[in-house]
Amino acid sequence: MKIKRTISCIIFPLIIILLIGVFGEFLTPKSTNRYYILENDPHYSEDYDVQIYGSCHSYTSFNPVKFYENTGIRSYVYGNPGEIIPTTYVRMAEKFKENPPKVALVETWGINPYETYDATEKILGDYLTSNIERLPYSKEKNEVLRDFELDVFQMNFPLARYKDRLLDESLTDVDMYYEFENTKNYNSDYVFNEMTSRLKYYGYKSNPSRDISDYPQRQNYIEEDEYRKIEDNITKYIYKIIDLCEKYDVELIFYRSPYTSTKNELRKLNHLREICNERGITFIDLEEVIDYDYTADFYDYQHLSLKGANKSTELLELLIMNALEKNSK
Amino acid sequence: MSYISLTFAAFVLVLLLVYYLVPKKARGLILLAGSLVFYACFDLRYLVFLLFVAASTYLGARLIAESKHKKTILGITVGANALLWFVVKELPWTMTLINDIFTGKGTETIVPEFTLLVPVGISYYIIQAIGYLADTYKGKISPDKSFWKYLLFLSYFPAIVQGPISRYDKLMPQLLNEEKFSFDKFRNGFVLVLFGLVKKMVIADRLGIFVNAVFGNYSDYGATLLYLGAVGYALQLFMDFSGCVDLCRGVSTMFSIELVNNFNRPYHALSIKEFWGKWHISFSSWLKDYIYIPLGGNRKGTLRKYLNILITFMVSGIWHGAGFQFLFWGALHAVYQIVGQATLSLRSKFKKLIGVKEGSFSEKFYQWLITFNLVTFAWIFFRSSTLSDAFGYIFNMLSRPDFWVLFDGSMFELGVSKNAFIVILLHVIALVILEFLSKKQEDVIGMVTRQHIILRWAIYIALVFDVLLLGVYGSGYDVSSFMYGGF
Repeated sequence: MKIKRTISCIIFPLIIILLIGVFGEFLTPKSTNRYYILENDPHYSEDYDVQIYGSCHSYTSFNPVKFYENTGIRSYVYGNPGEIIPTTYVRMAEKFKENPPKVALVETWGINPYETYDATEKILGDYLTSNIERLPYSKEKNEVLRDFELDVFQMNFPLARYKDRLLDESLTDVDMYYEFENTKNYNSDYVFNEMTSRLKYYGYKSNPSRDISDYPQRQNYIEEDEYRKIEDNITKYIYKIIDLCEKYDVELIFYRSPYTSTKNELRKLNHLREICNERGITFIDLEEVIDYDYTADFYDYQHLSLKGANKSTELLELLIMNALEKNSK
Repeated sequence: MSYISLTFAAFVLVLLLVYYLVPKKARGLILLAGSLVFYACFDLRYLVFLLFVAASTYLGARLIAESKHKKTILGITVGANALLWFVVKELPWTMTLINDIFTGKGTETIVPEFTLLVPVGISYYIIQAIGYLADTYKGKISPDKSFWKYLLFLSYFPAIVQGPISRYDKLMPQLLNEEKFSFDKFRNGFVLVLFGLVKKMVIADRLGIFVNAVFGNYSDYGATLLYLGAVGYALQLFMDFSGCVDLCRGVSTMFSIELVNNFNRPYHALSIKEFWGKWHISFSSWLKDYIYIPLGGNRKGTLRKYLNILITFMVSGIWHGAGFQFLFWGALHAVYQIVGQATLSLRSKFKKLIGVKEGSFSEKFYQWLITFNLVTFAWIFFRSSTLSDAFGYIFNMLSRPDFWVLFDGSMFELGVSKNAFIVILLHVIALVILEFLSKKQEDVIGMVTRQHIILRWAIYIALVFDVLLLGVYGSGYDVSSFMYGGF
């Protein structure tokens, strides 16, 4: 009797835990957006010497296929739509525990959730929660959740977050508008080869439906010495990323991909530049060194087209090769 | 630390483990330490109040047992604790009232206004302690020689926040029991906890969204919505309070300690008197034993009996909170009972006149309908923020017909969707069926635990996921505190 009851006491909670997982998975909205796709990508967990992190600007500015063709080195873009630096830190920490790279690139849109083209509420609400909730439970994740006053329980327990979808009869998938590629029906390789897919859909030209010829006028250029401090809750994670890379002996590169930025966003880049100088980290603003063709290199005001991404990749390739050489020493 | 939290679940599991692992003689100490830690988790300062009540009534009881001036000591000790309760719970409201009366709700004050720290559960452990003093005075029990054991009696963690109010001779021997761990008791406790969570999180808290919307803006609504709001509150209060009691009794059962059941199908009552024998039983029996009977009960003539009923129910009203609405609620229940008793023969004649047979289903149905509606009507005063709000609510309920809200979907725009209402309704129906199937709650638990393992586990799992999938928690909600914890 005792043995039977002991077994019951073990099996019953296991069934509950299993069912919680099943219900959680069932109720979580499936999205065509990248943070969901990444999780299901068979390539996600492989080893990559070069890893790229950041927001949507990371996967629209770097083409791993082009990079592989030029260098024979496999790379992977872990960036996600609207991903801010604290989430990037959690994702990097998670990846580094399993497969630390030799070089990590961090695209910098995510240093500024407060004064960019998207509303702060959207970035710190929808984007932050969508990006971070699917990341596994960790102390890094919990620290970000606490800093941004998100519910630790809900963000680690999808059932709590999405249970009302059952009562509201809203169990349909959330097809968030993923502009560059309709990847939902791809079975594999969709992330690694997404640039190739983009070529298939849009070719090398920018989105013909969008006229962005006034991009240079929209861009709010600033004097180089103008400076604005990045918010403390973001600066903290910039330093954490730097420390993480030092801990795992990873060469770190911060880069800015072009998009119509507010003046304050550009001013804050100078703070990041200062931090990078202080810690001996490479920082580059691609828009300062590449002569983009605004009619062909941009998909819209915020994102590069494949042609623009290939241009950027060629430049970043130089930095990466330098970093790899430095790392091997 | 809320009873509905992962922290509390972890706390109970750790305490259970330690409780059954330590030598049996040390169990009381473990329970006391656990109870004090639990109480201190709300606010460390609460312990000062608890210790004062425990120390004063412990000493008072010892003196009552040994002294010739028993009555004086009883009076002083009860008075000191009642004063403490008054200062903490009623004084701030009284000061505001005095200023309102003398300054016409102006900005000037003639007496200082302030808010005080109100320790959770103070109303419960003070009356439990007063009961202990009275029982000692009457010689029903001998005062405890050990202060620590007595402190455990007052602070026992599953009952400290909102009861049930225990009697010393029933609870104390169990607190020091040396029983072995019982799997059956653990399982029964677990099922009780699940029932409690379903009542609280699936029914009460979801109904609460609707009730709060209606009571919060009663001037915007008409008769149907306001009546539904009042019925909703009657159900919410019962599900919330009995859910908490189930949860606390369930946790206590795991420690092989049986707490009294506070409810016995109260909304099945066929008269107000019967209702009070089924609702908040531990408190109503306390009122009967320590207020109504010492006042003379029904032994001093009809008029005196009615007066005693009025005093007893007004004490009940005052105990529930500061505000005339509580006093009125208590008085209303007294009036119900007095009128009920005074018109007994008249009503009997009337029933004969209209041809309702005694003991027939029709008679019982009418009695139930009237009793339920009288109780629900009184709850309007209990729920309202002020007495004038309550009258405003009733005025609107009686003067603004709006039957169309049942059909035009507007009642589903108050935070509770149609599907959520269906969920609530199905749960209430299921609970009513269970209540009909079994006269005592223990019978329901027994019914579940007697089933074959597959069916039994299916029921457990269904209950767990009922809470997880349909409970009010998580995004967009706050798990609200148990309502009776505020009294």
